[in-house]
Amino acid sequence: MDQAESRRGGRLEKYLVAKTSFLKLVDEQIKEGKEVVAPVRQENQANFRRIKSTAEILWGGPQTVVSAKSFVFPPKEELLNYETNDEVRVQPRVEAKPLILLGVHSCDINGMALLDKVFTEKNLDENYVKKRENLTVIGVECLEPCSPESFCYRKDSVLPWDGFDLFLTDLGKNFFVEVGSAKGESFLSGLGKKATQADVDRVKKIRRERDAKFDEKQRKLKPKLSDLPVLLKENYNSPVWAERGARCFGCGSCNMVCPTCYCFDVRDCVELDLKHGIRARWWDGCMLTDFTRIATGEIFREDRGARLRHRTYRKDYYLFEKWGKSFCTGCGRCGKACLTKVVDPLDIANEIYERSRSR
Amino acid sequence: MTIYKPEVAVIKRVEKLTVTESLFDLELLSGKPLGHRPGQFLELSIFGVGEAPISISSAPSDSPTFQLCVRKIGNVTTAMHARKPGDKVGIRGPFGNGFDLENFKGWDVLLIGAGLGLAPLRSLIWAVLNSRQDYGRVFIIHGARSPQLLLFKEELREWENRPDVEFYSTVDVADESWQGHVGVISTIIPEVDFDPEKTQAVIVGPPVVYKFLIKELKNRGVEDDHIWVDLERKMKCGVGKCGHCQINNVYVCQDGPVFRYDRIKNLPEAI
Amino acid sequence: MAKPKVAFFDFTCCEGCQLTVLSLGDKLLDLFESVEVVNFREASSYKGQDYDIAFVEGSIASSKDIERIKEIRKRAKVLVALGACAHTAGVNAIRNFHNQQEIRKMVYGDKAWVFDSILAQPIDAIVRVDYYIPECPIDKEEFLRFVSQLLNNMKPFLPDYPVCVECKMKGNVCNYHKPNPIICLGPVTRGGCGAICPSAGNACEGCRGLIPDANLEAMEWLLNEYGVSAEDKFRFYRMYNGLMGMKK
Repeated sequence: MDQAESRRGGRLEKYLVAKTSFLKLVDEQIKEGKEVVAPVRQENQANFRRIKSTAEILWGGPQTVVSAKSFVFPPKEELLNYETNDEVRVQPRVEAKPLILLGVHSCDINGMALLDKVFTEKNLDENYVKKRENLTVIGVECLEPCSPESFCYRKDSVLPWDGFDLFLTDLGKNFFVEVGSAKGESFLSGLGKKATQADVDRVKKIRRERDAKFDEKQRKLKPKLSDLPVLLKENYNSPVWAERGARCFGCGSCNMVCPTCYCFDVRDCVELDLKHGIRARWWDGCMLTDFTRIATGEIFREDRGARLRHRTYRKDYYLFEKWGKSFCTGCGRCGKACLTKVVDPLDIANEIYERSRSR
Repeated sequence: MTIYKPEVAVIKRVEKLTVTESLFDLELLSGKPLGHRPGQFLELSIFGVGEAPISISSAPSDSPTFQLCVRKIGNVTTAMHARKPGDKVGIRGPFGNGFDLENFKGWDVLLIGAGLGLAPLRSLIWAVLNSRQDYGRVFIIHGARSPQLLLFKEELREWENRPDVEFYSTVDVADESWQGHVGVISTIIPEVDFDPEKTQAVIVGPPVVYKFLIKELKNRGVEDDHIWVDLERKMKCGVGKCGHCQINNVYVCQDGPVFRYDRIKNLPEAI
Repeated sequence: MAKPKVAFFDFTCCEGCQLTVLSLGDKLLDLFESVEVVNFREASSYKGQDYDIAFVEGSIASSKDIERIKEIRKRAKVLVALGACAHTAGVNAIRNFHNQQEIRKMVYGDKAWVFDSILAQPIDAIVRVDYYIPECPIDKEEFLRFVSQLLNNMKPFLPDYPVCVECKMKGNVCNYHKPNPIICLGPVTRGGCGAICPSAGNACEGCRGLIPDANLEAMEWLLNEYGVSAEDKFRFYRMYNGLMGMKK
């Protein structure tokens, strides 16, 4: 949280709130008709769902099947609708309604913090920004590794460095609550009491222990995190890409589940009268064949290995270099979704590192 | 207003250039001039069909009219070809960096348009000719697959006849009407009488031509930082979000489509 | 602009795709507003022979079928293969992998000689097909979008991405990650169905055909990883894609 504090240029307000009161507060909000979404059990995994009661929440479960990005950047989103009679009438569409996202893990909070950068850079994307403004993000600290695939500790993403309104740490009977925004402060509506130095110290100790546990249990990243851009840059022609590409379906699953993949396709849908229609965007993925195909049929990144390299480079080289943060938060979703085990960014980095050392 | 909402523009005039290409005169419904640079592009909307990136073919001007040269190839361009004067379409842009004329002032300029590449290049050609005194010698080179596919035939004749323009043209495959050079466009470069040290060269064409033309220019001694290219990629948003146009770490729609060659020659996905 | 004349034809199939069109509800009325249906056995006994667009359902499975489809091709400006049977020969092609004598006897008994059945083939094995609407049966939304886009002079949109894309958008637990994994052809099968089968807890059996650059080596690796026997692999692929790779 030091990063989040320094980013905001000051200490975050910290409270100690009894869990029962906090959950009661959320349940009251639900009763008032507020929309609350949280991770719940889905078969043998977890996913975000709208909840009717905080009793449904799956605390400390595995990463959700789809990341929290779908609430700010949905799989399909209408951008405008139109009517073409004698006059052309074009109506932009920006859909956003208040939503409380509760129980978000740090990997997803940081994912949204990264999306904030790209969608507000230069040409501001109102469709994203309006949804984001309507979102209240209440994160929860992971005290156990959520899955064998995740490696958030290796990606400096075990705590959020931006992008949350409240962040909860489980202290047994109480939540240790860190406030990330005025919206978070007002959500709390005066609940609990200011955290004492003893509380803060207790959390520090928990975090030290957690770090040790994560360091032991999560898969190792052999190169230094900050070296990834250079490592990748130097291994553009590594055989790793072709070898892994040969077993890649090009199915785009890794793009879909990723908290920071934000590429999209835009298509029109017209009614049978040919006068009314919508223009919408859909999630797209750089791993899909037609991602770079133009009208003449030419495909600019046809080889699966080259596409795998491009995806990896975006996460840990291009965008890392541009924004000073890796665009992989170590959530482990892509590694899990990839049925032929080729896409995991940590595996790739390690393999390239080992092979470049043995050269 | 969002970045995805097109402005409505009216088609004022349509001129058929070849079997597959037509030139459209357009005006924004607002009556405002487009305010573009040569080399910039628009996202052209046909509502119900979709959007496609189209480069602007007319020179920058204060007039509200601007021109798009459109090849009938995909859904949007086919629909555009079915449009008539008076019909309304959507426009977003202008997008991209375009050519900065300051880089060319005082220099000889070698302007190479291969195939449909002449469409965006035409904007630059007229911008240069409209303030001819700012430049040294002006070379215009156009190549097409066949004489029937030459674009802007009247303007080609006009440039050919201008004493202050050195004009070359070639076709890949000639017919009996063709008296000029025959061969792909890169084969004409050795015949062009230009001084490599005084020249800024511009290449606009389909993806396949760049490698060969750059090689020919370098053979003549043109430095990498005197070569400018205008690259084409798949585009959806035009505003640096959707990801389709990326060449390695570069967004063509934001950082391009115009690049100085020395700045992209190390991008393996560029040329 | 005059309304285009549309005809529906069925060959060897269950006619489920035509039934899907019939079950469009209100949208069916919109469809009848936009086009003139001159031949639609499931809806009307009128049989017009003058049409622009022919929607052809079913596989070619007898020598009579061959003559009939050629005749339809001659009359139609646009011929659309409707559904899996027309697109890949679908489930009809399963019989191609059995002894034809035995199969004919099993189906027709001692009257087998009356029927001139041949190996099942997709429509494009006999005539040129302009467009395909895949799936078993077709998807209503896709059919409507197809017709709108065709009326709008567009090349109708058919995704080249696999089923996994929409399955992930839906937030499904991957079939391969369930406590009892379900062998699923999603990674190599053309999307556009909204991952309807995996979303309902079933395997994707590949009814929309393979994506253009399906990585079958990767599929082989995956099926081996899950211990699928060679026999089961064949059975699985043959459900809808027995003839893959056999097309021109």
